[in-house]
Amino acid sequence: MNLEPIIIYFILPVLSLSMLLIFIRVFRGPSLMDRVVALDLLVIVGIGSFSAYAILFDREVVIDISLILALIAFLSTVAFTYYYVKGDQEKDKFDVR
Amino acid sequence: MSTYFVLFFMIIGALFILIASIGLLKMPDVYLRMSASTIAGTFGVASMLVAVAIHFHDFGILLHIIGVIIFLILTVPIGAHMLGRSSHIIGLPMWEKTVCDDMKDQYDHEKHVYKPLKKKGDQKETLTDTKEA
Repeated sequence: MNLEPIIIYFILPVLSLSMLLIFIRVFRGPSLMDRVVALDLLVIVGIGSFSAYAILFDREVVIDISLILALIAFLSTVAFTYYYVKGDQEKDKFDVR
Repeated sequence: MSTYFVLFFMIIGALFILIASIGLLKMPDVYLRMSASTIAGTFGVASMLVAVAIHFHDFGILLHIIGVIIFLILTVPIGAHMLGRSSHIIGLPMWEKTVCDDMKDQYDHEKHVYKPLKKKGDQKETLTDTKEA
């Protein structure tokens, strides 16, 4: 059984559709936290599409990207939340926003 | 034979990621959006990585993928917890049909810490604004 047409015609379009829905939430999100949640899920969908790419073209090297992407997603989420709360607490001192 | 397993896990993973993104779009609240996206998204991407491990049939790739899945299971709930905590501290509004909020007015905005929990005698006052009272 051949895997290529099912990946090309089913898996990758489903992943692209979910990326489109996530981008709608990124543009429409009422607060910044909605956008952070949406970008966190976007990185996870990116890991999934990289694994589909690795199966489609038989490249094992692509798997290394997934670990780095997971690490970057976690660190960016933590940094976003930490500095957002810090900026909200000290908004009297600095007139940034 | 292993092709069918690869296909099964790939389709399950893609559908779970689609469910996660629909939940992210349709849920009414930032907390509900977070709960929808983290659980289904983690399971979907773990299933797709299992499909990759079956397809390549190699021990090094299997170890690598087990590492990625364990890392995701450890870190995604921590990130979601930090997101929920900070959005609760900032005071983002909840859905209007939310029944109960136990951490309401518990954060001290001048000292930047959570207040200690109240004793048993005072708990009747805190329960008055929920639906149980």
